[in-house]
Amino acid sequence: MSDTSASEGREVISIQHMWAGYEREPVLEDINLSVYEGDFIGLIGPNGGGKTTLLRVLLGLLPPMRGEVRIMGQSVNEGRRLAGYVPQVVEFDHEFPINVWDVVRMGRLGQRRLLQRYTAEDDAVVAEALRRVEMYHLRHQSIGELSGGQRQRVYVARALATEPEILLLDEPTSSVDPQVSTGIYELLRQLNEQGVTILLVSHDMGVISSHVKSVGCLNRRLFYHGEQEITADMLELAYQCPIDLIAHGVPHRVFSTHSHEGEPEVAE
Amino acid sequence: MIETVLEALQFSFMRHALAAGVLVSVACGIVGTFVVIKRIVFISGGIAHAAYGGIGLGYYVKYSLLPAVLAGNSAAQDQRPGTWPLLGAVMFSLMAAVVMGLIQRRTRQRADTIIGVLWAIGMAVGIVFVDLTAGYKADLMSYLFGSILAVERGELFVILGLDVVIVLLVTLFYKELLAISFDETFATVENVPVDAIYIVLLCMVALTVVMMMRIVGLIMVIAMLTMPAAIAGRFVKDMKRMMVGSILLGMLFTVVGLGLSYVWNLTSGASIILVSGAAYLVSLAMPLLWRRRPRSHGSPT
Repeated sequence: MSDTSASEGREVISIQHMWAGYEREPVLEDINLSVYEGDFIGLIGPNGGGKTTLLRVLLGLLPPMRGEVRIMGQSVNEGRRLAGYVPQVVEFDHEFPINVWDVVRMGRLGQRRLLQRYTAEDDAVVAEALRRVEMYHLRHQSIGELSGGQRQRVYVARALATEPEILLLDEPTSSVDPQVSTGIYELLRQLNEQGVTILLVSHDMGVISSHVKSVGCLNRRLFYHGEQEITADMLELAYQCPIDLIAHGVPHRVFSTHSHEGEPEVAE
Repeated sequence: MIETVLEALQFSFMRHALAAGVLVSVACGIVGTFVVIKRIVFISGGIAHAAYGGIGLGYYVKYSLLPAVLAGNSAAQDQRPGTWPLLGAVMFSLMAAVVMGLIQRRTRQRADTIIGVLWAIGMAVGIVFVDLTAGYKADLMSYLFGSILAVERGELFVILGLDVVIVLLVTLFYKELLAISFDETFATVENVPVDAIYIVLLCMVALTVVMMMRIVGLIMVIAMLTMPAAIAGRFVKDMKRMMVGSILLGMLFTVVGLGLSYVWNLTSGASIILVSGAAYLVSLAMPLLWRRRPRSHGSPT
């Protein structure tokens, strides 16, 4: 936890002057971000602040309006194969007839073209991914029968099965209770120690800041300097107003308004 | 009982009807499973009804266009519509599948409105073509309400062929079909051609719907497509088993429905639907019965 800016590794994600949004209305403005191998970055921000949009751009689901996004030096449509995506579990069809194993094996889709069958190698990768999240024993379980935390582990395993250079997680703990959430962050920390680069977004700054290596704030603009602590300035810039800060190492207090150089225009 | 069955089977139309019901159940069970889990019941309804346009076109070609072209030819004098309406229906439903699928993918909003509009336009085109067609068209109602008893030997081979096509497509693209049904976003990220696979799925729906039209009729196609899969889905939590289960249930429902229609002289399509519907309602009520006696029988499979 001591090394805050692990910038000696390769650059996994590079975002430069990127603008993105829907129907000509930018949600993200002038985003610059470098993620290096071994990083464990948490980006926090309010709902509607563009967290999911940022991930959609990284996954090639939404083309940026301006700027450049590279994953391992490749365009997103190529490079996204190297990213393991863990979606936000919002709505879920509990009746869907599929078991844990088949869900995780979908992580191998990127390796197998149309008309190609899954191979024994795929099975080995899937088994390994399930073991890493401690879900191997439940591999025959139907996905609808799992608890929220178990399901989240399965999605992490599916992302790991893509053999990713980086894990991208969208609100990994939005659908689980606090104890389970701690367990999931513990799992992510272990994976990170094993060398998995992680970028996650969440609105839950309390939990996030005590587990990740570095944090940033995202609300239309990104405030990230590779620091471990959320600073009052970052939060104020991101949230556009004085807010309660309940976070790791910072006492619960209200910040007074004060202007800051480079403050973005008031948006909402 | 057995005498009745043997008696019924002496009629070739009964044997054809049974064969048709069993064969159609194969496609219906496989495609119905996708329709249920991917929740594309509405667009499937649109495809089915748009197919009526093709039936109208088929009648028009058979009774107005062909006689005009081949005046005096004996084939043109044939009173039966033959495969022309079927061909038209296949054409129209495939077209509807592609157009509706693309619209659903390309437009952000109101896709359901557009599908609803195409649904109605398809039917209206069919009705107008029938209006333009001169002469005998009593048999037209059979496409709305089904006419499994009128299935001819040649049609059985068409149905068998379509079954083979569907089984082949699902086998070849199983992992992609499962992926787009379960989590389309993830499938996209893994560079699965989700739009193309989705259109393929809708085309399978189109072919299945055309076959089933003969059995239960256009109006009840969607019920027949979804009920066996919905029942199977309540008891098994694996897609392949769900397919097999809904195939078997579909066969059971068509055979039982056909039997009842023979014994009591009822419309066959409606009997099949009522048997399926009754089974579906029972399957919905079953968990209530189990709750009362939790220790009986063990796991439902």
